[in-house]
Amino acid sequence: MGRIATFFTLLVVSVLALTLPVQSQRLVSKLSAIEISINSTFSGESLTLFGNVEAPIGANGRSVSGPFDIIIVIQGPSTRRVVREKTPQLGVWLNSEEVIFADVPAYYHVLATSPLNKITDEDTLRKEGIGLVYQANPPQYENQSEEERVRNKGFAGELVRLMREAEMFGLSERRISFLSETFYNANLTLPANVPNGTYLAKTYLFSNGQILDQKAERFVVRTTGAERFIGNAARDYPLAYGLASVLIALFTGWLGAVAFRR
Amino acid sequence: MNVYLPIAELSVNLFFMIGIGGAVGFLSGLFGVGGGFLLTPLLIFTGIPAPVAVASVTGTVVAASTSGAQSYIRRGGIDFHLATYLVLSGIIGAFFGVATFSALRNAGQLDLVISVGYLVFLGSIGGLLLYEAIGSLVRRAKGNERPHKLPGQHNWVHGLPMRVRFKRSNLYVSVLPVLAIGLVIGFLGSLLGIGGGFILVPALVYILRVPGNMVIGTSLIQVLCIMAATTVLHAVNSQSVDIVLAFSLMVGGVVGAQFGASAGQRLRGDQLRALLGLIVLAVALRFAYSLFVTPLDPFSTAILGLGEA
Repeated sequence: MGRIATFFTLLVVSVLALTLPVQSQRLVSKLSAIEISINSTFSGESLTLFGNVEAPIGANGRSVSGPFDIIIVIQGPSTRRVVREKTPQLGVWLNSEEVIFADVPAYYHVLATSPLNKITDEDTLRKEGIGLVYQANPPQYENQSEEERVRNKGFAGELVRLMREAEMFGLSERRISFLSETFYNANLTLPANVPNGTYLAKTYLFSNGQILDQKAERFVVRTTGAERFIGNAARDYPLAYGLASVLIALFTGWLGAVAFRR
Repeated sequence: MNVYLPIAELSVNLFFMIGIGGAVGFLSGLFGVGGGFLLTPLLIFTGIPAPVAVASVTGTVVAASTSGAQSYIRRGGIDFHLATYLVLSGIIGAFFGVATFSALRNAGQLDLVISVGYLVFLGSIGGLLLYEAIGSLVRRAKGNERPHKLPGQHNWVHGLPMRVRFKRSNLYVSVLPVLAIGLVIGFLGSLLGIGGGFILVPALVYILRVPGNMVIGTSLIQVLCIMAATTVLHAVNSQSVDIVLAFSLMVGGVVGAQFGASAGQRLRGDQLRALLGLIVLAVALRFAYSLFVTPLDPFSTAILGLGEA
């Protein structure tokens, strides 16, 4: 009797599974903080990114089947950057060549469960813009000679290298780990000098090289307290800021002379 | 303890910065110079961006020269009439200096000009100081010390038109060289982040023949006013004055200068000048190194503004 019931249950489930539209696994993701404050003692901030792979809506837990791969891209505000090269001119090393990149993220870090080329193919990565090389797009213009194209490409490579050395670009291919079959967790320490702005954390769920789902969360990095006040004052009220700086200097100097008067 | 510099946008160790300020303050007290020409390079060598270093040091020099000027004000060792001419032309010079600073920064050549500027000025001043001091030390060792005498009372400068009488300094000279000196010091000071005292003092002594009891005080007042104006100009023009950085440096500097001044009384003048010459030359050589030796990394990157996306 029990055996027959089990058989019919399985039959019904498989028929249902075949008739329902194919729905893939869903991703539920979360960040440990939505605002990161830079204050006077700021020396880097640790951010935890975690989430779970859920069954499609309407299916039971059994339909979650791995193995999965996760890629998380953390991207800062877009900036215009220049890359300069020093060359010897009459024996003196000076900046003589430069290439301007119109759209470079101020911060960019890729976290993954395993090496990117093991998770998916190059085409998917390029299409989604996942990877450091896609963050430094050399300028394209009409009548660009082959020589210029090669040069600009070289500068793009140098930009990625410089940004990596400054810890503003990064690739951590085994930083995400699955704590259970479906629950993943990753840690990222933002360096002390991350620029202010709105950041985007994009999480991709991969299985067998295919994107099953993706989620995006925003978080904000901003200076707070006195540092924010000083930074804003310098930008918004430069004249008052300059005069205040001079007054502080005059007072400090005067105080020093009075305190040490012999 | 780390402190975040809001304009330089990086974290530095507070005690390290106060320490640098203190060490340079000690030297400036010891030698009676402003210290900007040592402070700016030290900051650049420790990784502070050159524009922020130059602009912030101007604020620090204001504090140092205010501190130094106090005793001269009390003793009446300042020719305010002469200082007015120097300051007015100096502010015009500073105006051009800050404009040049911004233009060079945008063109990506600011670091080069700062390096060349320091190399030329520190190299020549350091060399002169050392040469003069060694000569004096050698003569003393030989036992035939020459009495220090100022070169003749008049030179070609005193033949120029538009003469003005400066009572305090007992001078009757043309205002043209006075204005020219102020202009040059203001320009160089704002461009290189130096007070310019180490150029101004010799210029006042050897070109204008300002008497010894007026030179230092008048020079300090000029440096104070020009650097105050430059700080405001940099704040308005390039927003690169980091008051947190400047304040840490000036606290160290004001205290260090007091100890330097008392230490200076135990050393003889020519020994002091030889020592100062060596330090100035060392900084100049460091700049020469960055100009002439193949850089470890010829590539550099800088942010221009917000992106298009």
